[in-house]
Amino acid sequence: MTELARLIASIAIITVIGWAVLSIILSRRGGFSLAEELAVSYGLGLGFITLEMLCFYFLKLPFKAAYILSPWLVVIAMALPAAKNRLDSVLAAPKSAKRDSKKPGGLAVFLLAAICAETFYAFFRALIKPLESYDAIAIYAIKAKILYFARAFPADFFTSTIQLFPHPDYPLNIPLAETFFYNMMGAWNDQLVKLIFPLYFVALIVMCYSSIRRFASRTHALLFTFFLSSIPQLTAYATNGYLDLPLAFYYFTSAVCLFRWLEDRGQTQLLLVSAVMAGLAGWTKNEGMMFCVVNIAVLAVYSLQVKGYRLQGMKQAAIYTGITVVILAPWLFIKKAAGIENSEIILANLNPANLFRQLWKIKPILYEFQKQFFGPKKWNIFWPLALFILAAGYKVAFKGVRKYIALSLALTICGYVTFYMISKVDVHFFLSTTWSRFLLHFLPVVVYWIALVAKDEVEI
Amino acid sequence: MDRLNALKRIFAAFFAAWVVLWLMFAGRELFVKGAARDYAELLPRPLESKRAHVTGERLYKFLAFAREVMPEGASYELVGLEEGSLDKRRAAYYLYPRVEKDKGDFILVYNKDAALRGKYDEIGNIDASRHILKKKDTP
Repeated sequence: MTELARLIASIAIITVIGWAVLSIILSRRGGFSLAEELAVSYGLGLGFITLEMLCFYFLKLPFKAAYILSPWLVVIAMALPAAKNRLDSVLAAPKSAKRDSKKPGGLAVFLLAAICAETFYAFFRALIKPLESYDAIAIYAIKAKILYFARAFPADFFTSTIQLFPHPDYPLNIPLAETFFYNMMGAWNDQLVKLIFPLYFVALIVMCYSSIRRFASRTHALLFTFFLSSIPQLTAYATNGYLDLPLAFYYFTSAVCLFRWLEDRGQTQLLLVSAVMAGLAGWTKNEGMMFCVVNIAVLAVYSLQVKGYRLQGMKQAAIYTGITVVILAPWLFIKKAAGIENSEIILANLNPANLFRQLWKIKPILYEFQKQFFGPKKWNIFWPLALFILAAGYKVAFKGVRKYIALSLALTICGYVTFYMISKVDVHFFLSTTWSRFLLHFLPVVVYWIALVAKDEVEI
Repeated sequence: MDRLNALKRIFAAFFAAWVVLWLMFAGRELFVKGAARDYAELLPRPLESKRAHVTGERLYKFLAFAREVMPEGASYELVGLEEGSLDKRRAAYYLYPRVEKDKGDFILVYNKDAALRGKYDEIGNIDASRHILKKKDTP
């Protein structure tokens, strides 16, 4: 019970730290509802705490709570005036919002109940047993355990210890988050630590609902949030200790902030949040670095397409790149210095001649794609539904900001196909073990896109 | 207007099919695949017993025994579990801070009636197919 209380207190601390960082980024400008701020703060706080813990490697500091938390007091103090100001305006906002005053109908109540049931079940499934699935223990939890028992980075952690276990090149955001919570609980409790994952699920659901709610009715937002939250593959990954759902959260938040900024360039703070979340996506999983590139590419294409905006747009793309690089720099430096390399992807293979030689892989790739498309056990009928909405709304699906969403998704799929083409792992094995997880990374963005298209075309 | 109504009807059919499949898969997972039974078994157990349940009682008992016998920081070789298998990964996870190493201080023999090697003595066993050997010169 004490461990649970300590864990809950740690989560509250993490969220406050994230909120302070967010407040500094947003300044007095806002741009999020209170629920969104809390959701973003959780991911942001966790990401920044683990980045700080990574920096302890350079400083040779132990993972003592006092050392980890004390620097954040300064950040919290700096953020207080802006945070208070925004809190006042956020709390005042719903009272004046007319559209919220309508009583929810039967469908809305059903959808809300279903989302709550899925959320409750995600917590239950996560907390009923300790970490036990393959990657969760073999790659992530083992690193967390090593760091917890050492109470610091052992001097040979990157050059020797980490090499004894699979995938030493995977970023340490979640393993360090697990270490942080073990430290705060004062025990190696690999059951309670799983709370991290359903909380990412909640954060994702909140972000999805709030983002759709911004342009559509409550029922419409609930409907698409229900679709997202009831996809079996997503709920399974909200509980099993894998990093795909945290990555999906970071990428979705980053992408939605970018799309919102594309619609209203005055809200520069959204671009900053997008860049930070993209950086944290890269700090969560290697695939996240691809999402940084995707977002930067979308930003660059947008800049080139808007007349009279090229120079400023390119400047903003450069700043965006700079922010992601700063976030990823400590980890990339450590990897380079310790000679840690990815065991699956060889970037040297990324050349036209090799890609041409690997064209035969397109067939198994397409086969796996259709397998997932028609796979209701993992996806319900999400992909056929998405296809139906896009076909029905093809006239609007690529208009305005939607074309950048489409571009973003197209680049993502191209990126993953390229991974498969240049990978040295047997493509059939690689596809069967990864594609259903890779789909999760951009699934929420697809939900957001079809919600936008459906709003204009089907008028739910 | 007709087109819009048709689209709405198709969308409603998708939604209905979604809800039916959603409930069906939830029921299937809970009652056909046995998740409900698993939850009922896990719920009253303390953490250590949950670990044993998810790992498999037989393997976990052996790993717990190995943790008692081997001091922290010791190195071991594990015989009897397939390389790269989930069980092998779980063993590495639960045995840490003891680390697997070729020709380690200890040999953990699981599900095998291994002949004792010349440089090792048997220092304990759970049954005929689960024993722990120790290098003769290890303190």
